[in-house]
Amino acid sequence: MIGLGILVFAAILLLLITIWRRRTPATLRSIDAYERLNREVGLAVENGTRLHISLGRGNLFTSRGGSALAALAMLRRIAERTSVSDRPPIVTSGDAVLAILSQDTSQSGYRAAGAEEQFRVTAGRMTGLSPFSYAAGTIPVTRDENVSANILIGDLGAESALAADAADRQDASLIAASDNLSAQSVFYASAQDPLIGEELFASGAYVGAGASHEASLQVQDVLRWILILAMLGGAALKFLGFDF
Amino acid sequence: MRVFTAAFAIASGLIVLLGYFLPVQPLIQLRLILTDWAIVIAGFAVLIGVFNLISVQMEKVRSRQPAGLYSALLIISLILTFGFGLLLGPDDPFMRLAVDAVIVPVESALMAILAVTLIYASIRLLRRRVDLMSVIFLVVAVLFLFAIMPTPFGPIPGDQLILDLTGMLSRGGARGLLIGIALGTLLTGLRVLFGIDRPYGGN
Amino acid sequence: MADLRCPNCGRDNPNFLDTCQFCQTPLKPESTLHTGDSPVKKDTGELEPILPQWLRDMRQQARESAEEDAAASAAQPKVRNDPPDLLAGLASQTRDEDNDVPDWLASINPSPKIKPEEPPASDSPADFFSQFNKSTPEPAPPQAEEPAPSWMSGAAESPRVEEEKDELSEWFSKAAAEPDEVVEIEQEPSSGGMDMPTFKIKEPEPPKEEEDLGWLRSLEATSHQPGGQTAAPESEFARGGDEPAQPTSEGGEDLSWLNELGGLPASAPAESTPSSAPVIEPDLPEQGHASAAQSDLSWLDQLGSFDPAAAQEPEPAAPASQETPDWLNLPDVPAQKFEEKPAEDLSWMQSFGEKEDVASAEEKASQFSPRRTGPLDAGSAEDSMPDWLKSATEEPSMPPPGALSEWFRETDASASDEPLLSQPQPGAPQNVDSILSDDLPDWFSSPEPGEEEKPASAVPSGDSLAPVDLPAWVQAMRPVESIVEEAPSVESQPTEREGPLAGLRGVIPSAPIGSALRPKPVSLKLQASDEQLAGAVILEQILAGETNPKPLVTTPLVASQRVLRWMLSGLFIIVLGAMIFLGTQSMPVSASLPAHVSSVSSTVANIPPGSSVLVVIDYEPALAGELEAVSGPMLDQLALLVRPRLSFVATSPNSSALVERLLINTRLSLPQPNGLDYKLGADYFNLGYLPGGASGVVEFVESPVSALPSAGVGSFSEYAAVIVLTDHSESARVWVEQLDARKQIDPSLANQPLLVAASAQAGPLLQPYVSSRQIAGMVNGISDAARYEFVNNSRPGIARRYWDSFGVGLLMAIVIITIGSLWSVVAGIRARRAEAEFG
Repeated sequence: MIGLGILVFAAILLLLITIWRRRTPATLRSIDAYERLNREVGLAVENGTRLHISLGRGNLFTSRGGSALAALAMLRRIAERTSVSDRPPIVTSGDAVLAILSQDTSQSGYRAAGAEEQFRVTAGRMTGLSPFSYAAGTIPVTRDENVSANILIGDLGAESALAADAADRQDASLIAASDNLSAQSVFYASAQDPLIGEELFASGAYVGAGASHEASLQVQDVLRWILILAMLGGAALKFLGFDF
Repeated sequence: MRVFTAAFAIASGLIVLLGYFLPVQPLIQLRLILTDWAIVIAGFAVLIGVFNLISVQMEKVRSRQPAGLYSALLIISLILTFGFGLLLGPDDPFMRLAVDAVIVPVESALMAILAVTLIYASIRLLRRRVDLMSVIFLVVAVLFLFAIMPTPFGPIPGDQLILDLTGMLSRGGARGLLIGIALGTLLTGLRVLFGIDRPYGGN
Repeated sequence: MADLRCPNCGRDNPNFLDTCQFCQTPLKPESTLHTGDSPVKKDTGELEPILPQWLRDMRQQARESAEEDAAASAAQPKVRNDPPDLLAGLASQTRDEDNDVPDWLASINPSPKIKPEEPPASDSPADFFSQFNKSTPEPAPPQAEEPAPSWMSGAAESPRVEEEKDELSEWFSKAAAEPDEVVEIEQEPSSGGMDMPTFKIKEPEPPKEEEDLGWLRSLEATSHQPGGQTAAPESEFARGGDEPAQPTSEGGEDLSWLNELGGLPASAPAESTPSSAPVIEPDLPEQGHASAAQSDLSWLDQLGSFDPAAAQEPEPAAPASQETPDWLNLPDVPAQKFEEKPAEDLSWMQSFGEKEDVASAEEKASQFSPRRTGPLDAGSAEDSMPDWLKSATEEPSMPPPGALSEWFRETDASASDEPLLSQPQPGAPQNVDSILSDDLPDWFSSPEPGEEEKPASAVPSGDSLAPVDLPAWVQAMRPVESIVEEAPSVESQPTEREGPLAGLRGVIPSAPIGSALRPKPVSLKLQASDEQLAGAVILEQILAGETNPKPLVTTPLVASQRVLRWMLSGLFIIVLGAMIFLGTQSMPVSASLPAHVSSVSSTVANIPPGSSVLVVIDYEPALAGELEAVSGPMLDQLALLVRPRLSFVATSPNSSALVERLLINTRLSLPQPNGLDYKLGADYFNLGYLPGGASGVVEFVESPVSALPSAGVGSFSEYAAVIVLTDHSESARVWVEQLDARKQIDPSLANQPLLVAASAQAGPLLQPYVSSRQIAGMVNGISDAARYEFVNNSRPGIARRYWDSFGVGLLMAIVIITIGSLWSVVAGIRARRAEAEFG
């Protein structure tokens, strides 16, 4: 019930802050990776190059689906912004459900921009069902599709180092974030501006996906402080001899 | 249609969530039914994903792209493996041969490449970004490898200390990161649950 | 093109011929010009007899008036400046038309038609002043019928010209109509209801009084005399295109070519000296005679920067030197002083001006009186023409251009001693003669009395100049002579001794060829200070840095990356391959088991024999080697001690195909004595892939049969233990969390242990679950597996085979990372230093 209480509290807080943020947009701290992401989106449209957005292997039936949903929210916004480009972004994923959702999300982004005819179903691809087959399938996209920026966001493992290395070989920009700690350590060594921890879930807010994403960040902060206080309090009680 | 899909998605999410927390039998039964549907749909989604993979590779073949030959080889291999697996079953020696002789070696080779790639990335880290955290990152990695490394002389003195120290810091940090990721996942799920984010139905 | 009339036989020849086709007499002066002939200065005074009578009369009057102002005019000095500007233009012009006779020269070549009674001067093909005797072929229409442009409204006052066409004026008009003409002219609708365009020069009309160019006024005044019929040529500019010829009001209007000659832009004085610039108003007749009479001489105002307004009005004239060329930037003489000495250097011209004054009264009486600048009728011409012009009137052909040079030289000589310009005053009006003497070629300068040397001429007796001679002023326009400052005389040049030119002297000029054509060097070096030069150097460096392409470092970097990768890969493959091939087992394995490993061993020992154990295959084929080695000792111990029925379930599509491989590599399915002889369907079951992720796990935990019909158990509690072989901490966590949750609901699961065999990357993240006892025990990586094998009697021995290679591989990784990182630091510092050097 504690979990349900936290869930309800978070839901109420999210709705309230979302309504508030629709009136007064939040001021977000600067994250170099997302600033570069916005810049790369604009450059790709101007240069006539592609964006490669990799959503990872996040199965929506697992907890890793959260990162996949966050990546889909970002994809929706990027698809809308790049709909004017001659070369639409290519979305790769390592999960079948995620691949279908990526196609649906891209199409909705094009529709919102009034360029639904630009959408191609093959822009959303499933490149492999296993981690390494998925990584191996993304390497040709980076190499052959005139990609200027690779955006790896989602549930990615250590195998994403291959995709990062392919981007480095093609001298393409790399923006990477994962909910996997192994992948984060890999990206820390491979990417110029790695995204650590829950910064992945801030992608929607930084690409202008809406007030709800900004509100999510604030709710996360609130819940984080609550958890910090709870852990410190529990440790103190445990230290004082209270058993619970 | 969009309203229907959104309503159905929100209702399904709420039912599964409440059925998980509330010990109400109708909710639990309903949750199991929805979970069964989800598993079946996920199974078919794999097929749809495979068809998507085939269509993309076929497009490469049709457009005579430079990698079209590999795409054709992929399609042929996929059809053959699917056919033999469907006819002979996964336990057939031919299918085992396919796994042992192709899948595992290929992926193991990719794993070996990954090892080289990670070593190379570690080498290039200080060329790419020189700061205190990068130095700490490399020092901790080297110390951890040094601690678990078998030597002809037995365990390295102080290996356990190194493992405990690095493990303590890394586990604590990892736990904090996971909590943050969990919070982000929670909020993302709530947005989907409330229909704010709808990565479905073309919204 | 008009035909050329031979000066010798009088017959017409085509224009393109150089010599007469009948008598072989040279038709054009250029045709007789010999290479090497030095410019010879002529005494044009001797040409005076051949001038028309009317010109001689004018000249005589000029002399008389000059004598009256001799004192004043004699005091005016001749200011000499460098003349290259004008000469350069002439020289270039001459070069371009070197082989072509200029139109103005060609036009003056034919003999006049108006006086056929006089024999043509066969020896003077370039009779300059004969054009004044030429009559226009078609009479100009009367002013009343076709009004002239407004700027020519003065022409309406002039008498109608019928007899002759003034070719000199036509030439002047052509010169004035050259594209360099920059006089701003506004085209206004014709006042007379005709379509004649009216032109308005936006410059104030200078007063015509006090002109030192009285000689031209005299010309005009002479033309205004009763009965005086002067052919008033109409310039192309005045015609305005297709308009018929109109009588010109003043001959001076057509002399605007001198503006062009001097390189003086007409618009320049219009901007800088509006008060002195000429304005040709469309309503010129309404402005009275003075202004009308002045408009024709306005070009001379510009030429000399003379400010007539300053002469008449108290306010001084605006300086004209800013827009004028250097050769015109002579100090202006105050207008007051100019009034006191109106004649000055051109005193003989002043007499024309006085005549102009007299004639102006007549123009007031009859503004439409015809005016002629050509030959006048007999009576008036005889009276008004100067003596030197009388002969020209008498002679049918114009005097050679050299005569004109003498004529100008004479005037120049009279002006050379003018004292007024000896001390040039800024802003003072300039004397035209001083300009001519300074900036025009030597044919404008004073004559050389001692000049006796004349080229060989074929001029018949009675003519001053031979037809083959060019006047000095024309020769001065030639490129070589115009640049060579002092051409050596023929006597000073050596005589040719060899070749066809043997015996000749001066044929080949001794002046250096090539360098003579080179213009005077003009220093273009900027006068800049050291500080400015230093700044310029810095700017150049900045620009050079901007323009120089920076070398791309990506290509060598990519190449080095590829090489480094190949080196690393080759090194690992060779060393580790050798280690595996040799099968060395030299590195000792610790016998002490970690706590979480010993927990596994004890847990396995406590599993009831013959029970069902669920084995979850949660790893990918890429990590099959590691997971098989990690899970091998645990499964071997389990099979040896308990021999349970193993049920394998895969959480990824590929994992189900790894079951057989696992059992073979761990020797469970191998027949005895090498293996444990596990049989599919009897001792182990491959349940296949469990889809749905966490949902599938939840469902399988709640109801294994509903999730996987092949499970073979009614409840999850029938499994005595759950072993998870995983390479993902997240998927392992799902099993941990769902089982823990299920244990809270189903008490029968309380004693169901959960064992984990994890890869090295997943183990640390699962360690908290081990600490919290949610995981009963865990084997983490090769290191734990090797120890576990050592305790388990080295069974199945997979980890031990990898142990040495594992150690060497780690050592290599440590060394490479350490050395590579240090090298990266050094290379990065060098690169940043290099970038700092290149900016």
